[in-house]
Amino acid sequence: MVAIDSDVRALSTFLGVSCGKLAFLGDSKIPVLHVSNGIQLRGLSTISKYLVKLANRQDLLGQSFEEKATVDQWLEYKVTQVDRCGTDKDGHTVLKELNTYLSDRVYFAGHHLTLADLLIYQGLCCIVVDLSFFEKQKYMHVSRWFNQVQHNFDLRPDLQPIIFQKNQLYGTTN
Amino acid sequence: MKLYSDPGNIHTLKIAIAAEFTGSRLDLHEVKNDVQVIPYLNKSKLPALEISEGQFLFSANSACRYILSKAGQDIDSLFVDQWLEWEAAELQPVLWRYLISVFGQGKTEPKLEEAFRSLLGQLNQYLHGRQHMVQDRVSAADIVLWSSMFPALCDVPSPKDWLSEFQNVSYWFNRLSQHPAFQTGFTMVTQGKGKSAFKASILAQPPPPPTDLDTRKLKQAAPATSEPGTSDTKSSHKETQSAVNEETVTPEELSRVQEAWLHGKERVPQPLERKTPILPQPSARNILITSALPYVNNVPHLGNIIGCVLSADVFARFCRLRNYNILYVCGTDEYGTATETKAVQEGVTPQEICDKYNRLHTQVYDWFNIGFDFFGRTTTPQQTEIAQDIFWKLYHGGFVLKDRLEQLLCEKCDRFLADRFVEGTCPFCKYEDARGDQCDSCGKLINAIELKDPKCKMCHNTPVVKSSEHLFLDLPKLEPELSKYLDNAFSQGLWTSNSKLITKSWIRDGLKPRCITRDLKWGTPVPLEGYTDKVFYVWFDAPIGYISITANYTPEWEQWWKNPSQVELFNFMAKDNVPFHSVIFPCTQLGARDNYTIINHLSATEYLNYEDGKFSKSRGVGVFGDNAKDSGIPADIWRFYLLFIRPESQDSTFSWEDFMLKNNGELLNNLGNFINRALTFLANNFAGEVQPMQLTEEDNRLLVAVTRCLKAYVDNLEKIRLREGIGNILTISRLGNQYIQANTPWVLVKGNQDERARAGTVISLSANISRYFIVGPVPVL
Repeated sequence: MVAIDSDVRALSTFLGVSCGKLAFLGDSKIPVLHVSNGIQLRGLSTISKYLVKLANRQDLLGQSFEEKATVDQWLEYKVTQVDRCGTDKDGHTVLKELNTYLSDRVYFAGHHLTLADLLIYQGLCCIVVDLSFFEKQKYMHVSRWFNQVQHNFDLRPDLQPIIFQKNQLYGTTN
Repeated sequence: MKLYSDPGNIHTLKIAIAAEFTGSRLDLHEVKNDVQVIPYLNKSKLPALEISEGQFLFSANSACRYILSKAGQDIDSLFVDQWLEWEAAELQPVLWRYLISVFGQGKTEPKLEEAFRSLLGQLNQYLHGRQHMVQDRVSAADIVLWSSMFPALCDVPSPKDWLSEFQNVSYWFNRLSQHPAFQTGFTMVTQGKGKSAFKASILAQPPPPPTDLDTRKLKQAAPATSEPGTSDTKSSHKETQSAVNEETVTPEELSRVQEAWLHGKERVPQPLERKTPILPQPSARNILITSALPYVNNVPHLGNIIGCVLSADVFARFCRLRNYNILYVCGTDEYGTATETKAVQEGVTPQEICDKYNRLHTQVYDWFNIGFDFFGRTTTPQQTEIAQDIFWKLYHGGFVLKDRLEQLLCEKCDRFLADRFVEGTCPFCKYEDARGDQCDSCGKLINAIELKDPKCKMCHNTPVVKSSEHLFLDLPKLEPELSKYLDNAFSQGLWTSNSKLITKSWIRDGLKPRCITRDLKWGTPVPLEGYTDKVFYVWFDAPIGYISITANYTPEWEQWWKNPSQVELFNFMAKDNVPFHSVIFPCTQLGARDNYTIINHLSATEYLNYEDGKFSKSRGVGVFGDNAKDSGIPADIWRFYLLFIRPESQDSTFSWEDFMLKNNGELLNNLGNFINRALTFLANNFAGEVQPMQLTEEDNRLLVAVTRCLKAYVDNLEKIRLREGIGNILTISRLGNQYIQANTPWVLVKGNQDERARAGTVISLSANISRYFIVGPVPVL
């Protein structure tokens, strides 16, 4: 819960808005945000979208209908898959899927940064930080995308950047 | 839009209703439930909506909303987002499991029921006084939730009557059931089969991850290095696996290994006695190894070292261990413009410069434990003698041409200026600071002669154009012989692919006569009348240095250098030196018609970068000369890492971070850890005495795996695949670590007599495997 809280805070700082206090329902990990009198929003994805709209950064939600749907899809993936790995194998499955998807893409939706990139980046941090150089090369497209997001978009200035080797160190990574 | 789905898929209902609602056309393709439509997902996920060529949506919720948006009928409210997220993140993990247990087993667990009830309760509370989920019309939230819950509310053969328990949900649900779009969508998906159509699809898809899983918790609980060796076993697990399990161990291998275990020692050959001077032996495999001669004036950096002397040294050590009869020679290349110029700058003679720097090189290589059989220099009488001899043979053989060259002469300095010592205005772009070989501004290649307003870089005097006669090696005339030689050499020898490529492209571009003389003072003098004031051009002269250096080692040098039938010549270098070793020098040797030993094998490396940039002495970027020694890190560690990153098939990078990681991860945690564990345990628990060993099937399989690695290691080094060789060494220690780990001798040793004996076997076997490391890594460490 602490982690979700700091992620939401980091996002609102990045967007340049203030997010107020996050609450959690019971002992679940579902965040709830009070936005105004009696109105509250529930769910990490929804709250993140709210912050984006508050910051007037609708570009981060996608520009065409197709892009918006793609962003929505990957936000759903983040919350239901990336954040819910029960074993290391699950983590590697996620990495593999994302790696294939990103093999011919710079960003998750369209040709620019969207909320999908930001949230998936946040979700992957704890997985990527533990990868060996061998694994980073194995998932080289994820590595390339991750490195780009971490360096170009100051989402977590408090964290040390994760090191990626740009040259291939290993012959085969099968 | 194409929609791929299996029949009776609940999620497809969401999309079908949205299409009906908006009047959008959907092109439904029915597929089996195990078909993978989406290329990047791990398993089959249906439905998949193709929104454009090759672009899919695998989220039915997003697809539903997309269809509504496109038709202008979406509600742009965060509450729609909220309920879609609720459906995917909170409802589905519970609902799907509930449905599977009900449809699959015909009953349900109380826990699942309770969880579902709680969710329904939330929805019910929200729907108090509402007809629609958001605002006052149908939105994606209605469609998605209605579809998801249909089977649970209407279809389930269960005593639970949810609808009567939750009135608000009931009211909302039934109202929507009357909606024409909902009805049509329903019919389309169920194909008129009615409610029982959903069962198959539900049972075919796995449920989404449950809500109590948390990736962060997973990562906190299992840190990367909880046990020495584990982080490596994780990442290189595959590599180790392939050595052990993937390929089944054959009975032949098992019996061979057992035989070798018991009797192999008797067959170990005696090491070859090496008496200096080392000369070819008729019965042995005679190998002559050279590393590209480092230019004396340049302080060597890590890239030079791994490119040339270190690679050759590893191979040389390996060859000695294989009992081949080898000679490894190298030395400093000392003639040429740069030395002459530097001498003038420092106010000393070229010879003094060379003495100083030759010492530096020798010290650096010595520190790196490079075991040359002889490290010499090119400024010796033998060089003059042999170079002139070769020249005469070429001359009398008709392979030397005479021609005039126009060069710039600085009268004040009394020297002909090499291209880079002339500055002037570029004739193409008028850039005023162009150098005599290339304009820094427009990048065009120029001849120094072409510069406008040229100036000598040293004294700023204007040079004059003087034409002088020079000698040229007639490469075109020698080309057919060379091609024939290389065709054979390429097929019989070991040539890195870059070396073959570079050589072939030189020949394909057409060889031209190459100037072999220069108007300089510091060099091997040309003996031909009329040219005696000139010296040989360094690239004609330097490879001859290999020969003269050997001549300095032994007067019997011709046994190595004029003995192609008994000697194999291996050249090691970085790729920029390839043409001189594969084209120019062989032509020189062929033209001399003196039975010279010509190159058989060439190993050329790519470039080593430094932290993503290049090494630069002038800018102080990189690790040069003594820096490695000054770091306090032992030479063997440097050797190991440099070999680990040897740029074999493409450029590689030296990274301090990675250097540390590899040292700690591989040398320490893997290699060092294994040997340490095995031997320390033996010392502490068995008084350092190797115990009698009863090898089990598992132990023999381990030996087979180790043997395979050993064979691979030898094969890799024979083929100068040094990097892979290192991998083999590390795999053996990895296997050892896993073996110790799996057998837990520290537990066994506290047990009964049998268990103690087993511990003894395990540790003694490990200790024996450790003995491999006395010899195996010697080429490297």
